[in-house]
Amino acid sequence: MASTTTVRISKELSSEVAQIAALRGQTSGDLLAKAWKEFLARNKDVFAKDMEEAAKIIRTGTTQDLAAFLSSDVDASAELAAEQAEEAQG
Amino acid sequence: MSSRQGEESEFYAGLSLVLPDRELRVTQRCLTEDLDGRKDSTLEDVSGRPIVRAFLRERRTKTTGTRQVGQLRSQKEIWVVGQAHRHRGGTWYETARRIVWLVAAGHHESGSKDDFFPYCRQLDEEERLAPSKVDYRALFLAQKERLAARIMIDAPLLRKHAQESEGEVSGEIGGQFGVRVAIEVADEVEEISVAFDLRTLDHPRYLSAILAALEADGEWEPAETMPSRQLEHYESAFCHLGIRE
Repeated sequence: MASTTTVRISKELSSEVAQIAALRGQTSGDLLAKAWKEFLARNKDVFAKDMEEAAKIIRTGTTQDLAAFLSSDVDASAELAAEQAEEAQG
Repeated sequence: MSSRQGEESEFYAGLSLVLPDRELRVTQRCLTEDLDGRKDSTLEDVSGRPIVRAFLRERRTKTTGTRQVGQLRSQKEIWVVGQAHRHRGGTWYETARRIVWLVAAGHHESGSKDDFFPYCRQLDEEERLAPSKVDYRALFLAQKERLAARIMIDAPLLRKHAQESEGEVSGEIGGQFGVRVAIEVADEVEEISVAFDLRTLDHPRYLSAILAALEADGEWEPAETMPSRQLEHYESAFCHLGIRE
């Protein structure tokens, strides 16, 4: 099992997550895992719909179709990444 | 996408040279404005340019250099690569994504208004030095395409490995997501159990894509345990019942 994680979130959020995790005696990865569990529990219908779509792609689609399925948030992610790059001082 | 002979672990992909531990990538602005590339050119297309050769050679082994472009408004660490007397390039290492970007290229002629260093400062002032939304969109789409291809290859291989093994097997799908798979067979019924390391998850759709690539027919249900153990606090598990073919 992988023991390290690269989490691509803003420096501010990353810092806050690390502080909260430290206060709880946990790692950022532990908190992230907990957040994903809660997210999946709250979004069962969305997950079920995604499962159907992914299964259909695997049965009848192409790699490009699967890539498109995985790319639903690309525009928002790109905008955030560009903002972070512009603000980065390192 | 092409591989260099004898070095299958690295390959050109669009504007990137993908190495085992990082990507070397040119920004779209640098490609078209500084390197005279076309909008649809690839990094490989311009790899013969002297400064691109220097970029690929020097940043292959080190993410930074020995000299920076100073006095930038943004205070970014733009490291200089050079080729011969005149050719200069500026690179920025994006640690979180492990990408070395070639963000600017030009000629160094002290005192010239076109000198590389004031040119970099001007680009920085105009907020055109750092990778843009267009760069990241293209990067992410290319990465998702590679990930999709890896999922379609890695997941069936992991399942095959689990079928041939006793107990759980672990793997990293797409080189990044920690997954453990166990397969139990009773009579003709096959139960596949999968535990994901949620610390390695970037997007919930990766779960559904990986589960579908493991088995696309029938239903995946959430599971509270793996066959031989309780779940770790950072895991989420699913199981699938089917008829073994």
